[in-house]
Amino acid sequence: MNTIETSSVLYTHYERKEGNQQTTHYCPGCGHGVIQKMIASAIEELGVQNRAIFLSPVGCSVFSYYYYDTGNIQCSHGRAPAVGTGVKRVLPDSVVVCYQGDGDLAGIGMTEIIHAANRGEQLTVFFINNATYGMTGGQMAPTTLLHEKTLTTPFGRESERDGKPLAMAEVIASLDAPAYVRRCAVSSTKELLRTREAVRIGLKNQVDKLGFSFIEILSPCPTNWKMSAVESRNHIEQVMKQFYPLKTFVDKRPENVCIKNNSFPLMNDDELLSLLTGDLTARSFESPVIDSPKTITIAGFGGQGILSGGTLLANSAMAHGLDVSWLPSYGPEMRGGKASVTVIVSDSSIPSPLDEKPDFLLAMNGPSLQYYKDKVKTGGTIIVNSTLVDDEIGRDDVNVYGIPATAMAQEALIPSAASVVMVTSLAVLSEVVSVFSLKESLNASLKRRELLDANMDLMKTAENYITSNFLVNNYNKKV
Amino acid sequence: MKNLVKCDVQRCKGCYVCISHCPKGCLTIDSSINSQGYVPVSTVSEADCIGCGMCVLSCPEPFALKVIKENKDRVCKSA
Repeated sequence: MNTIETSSVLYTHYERKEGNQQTTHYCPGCGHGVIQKMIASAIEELGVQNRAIFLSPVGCSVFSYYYYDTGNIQCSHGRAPAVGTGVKRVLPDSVVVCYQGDGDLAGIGMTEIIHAANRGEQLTVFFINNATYGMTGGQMAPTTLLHEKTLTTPFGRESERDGKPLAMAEVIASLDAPAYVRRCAVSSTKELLRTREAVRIGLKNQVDKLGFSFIEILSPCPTNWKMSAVESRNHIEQVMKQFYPLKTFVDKRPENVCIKNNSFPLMNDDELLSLLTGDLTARSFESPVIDSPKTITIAGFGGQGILSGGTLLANSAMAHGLDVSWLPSYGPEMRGGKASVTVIVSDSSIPSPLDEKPDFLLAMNGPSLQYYKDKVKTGGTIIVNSTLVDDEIGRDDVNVYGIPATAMAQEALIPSAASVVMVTSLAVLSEVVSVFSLKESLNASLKRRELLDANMDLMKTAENYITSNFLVNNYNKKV
Repeated sequence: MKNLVKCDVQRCKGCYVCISHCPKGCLTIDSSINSQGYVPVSTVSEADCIGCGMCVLSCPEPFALKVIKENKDRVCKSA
């Protein structure tokens, strides 16, 4: 005796659901249940239940994780293809089911779907098109048909005012990468059988690693269409199919090109650090003597290497095993705008990277000195770029040093390295980081590695300048 | 023994899509109301079910319908 019944990939009892745990939360006659049963059957048939991950969207099907006895992730609105990309790259053998409605995929998540399709991610996307925002009460969706009345188009959708309906299968098919693009419907008996076939093909493509599959399914929403379940199926047959032709747009299965593994190699923290910094030697120096968190603000204009100077300092402190925060602030212009960076170094966790009262201020130009000088803590230190600044500080409760940073950097033919001079000065004049660790961290902090030697020479020049001039010649006496 | 459609009346939401998809008229609207307030479908005893499973395929509610087939030789696909 054989039976035909719902696949056991769906739970029979919905433990996660509140209220009645025997029936789904869908309205009577909803297309979601029909399609989700088909997907469950296909998962069972392919024998991939233990590696299937169902991505629930936002919309009526947000609670799909009530029903699927598979892996489940509930994604942010429209972001299922992005989440799927991540899952698939980390777990290349998983079978990821991206299940999205029209508001989710064609409205809010248009960016994600287009780029995932264009990259040819190994995903199967089921696009449930019922031409309305169902969960929120039937507002116009990108796929709403012309002249269709919705909550937000009470006179009917007009192309001149609201644009024409978006045919997503055609949009996806216009891209080069997708392996399988098809539109079907859950209306008549014939279309149900075709949809079942398409669902199986879409998932099998992923198992066979053929690439990106996109199955658009015209699905009824009896509640928001204000029809009976049977009428809504007739509406798909008679009206929706006119605008959304049911056919296979792309089918690259005959080419049988198995996509190569496009996932990244898995790395541990040390390997990642090595990849990103190209340098592991500058680590684990003896910790410098700091008894409390120190805040260093470097401020000037864009192009002086402010942020890079902060990176150098932060990397160097990290090499000492200290906790570090690096908080940049800059205008939209890459050169000439205001720029500053606040670096906090600490021997314990840093609760917030925000600190308006620095212990050390490295002022690279006049305006930033004026802005920050009164914020420096009593007993703190101000180092000014004396090439560009000759303003009065007007405070006697801070230490002040003047370094001709810009002049020294220009002399070394790397004008953007003025901040390196300033940070070196800080290292020599304070105990926050050592000059040695600064030099060792330079390679990891430089964007242009070919300038490593020039920067190293500049650091030595700065170090010599400071050791020979201070503590005799401070800024106020310089004038 | 004949092929048989079985309806779990507590799961049926009374959308009657299955009735419109049955080629043999095996299903009809029941006279009872279930605990959810829906009027479920029931089977027509004298009808000749061919075991095609379209009712199960078209039904939006998991586990509301199942078809028990008499013929052992034919391979069935789950719907």
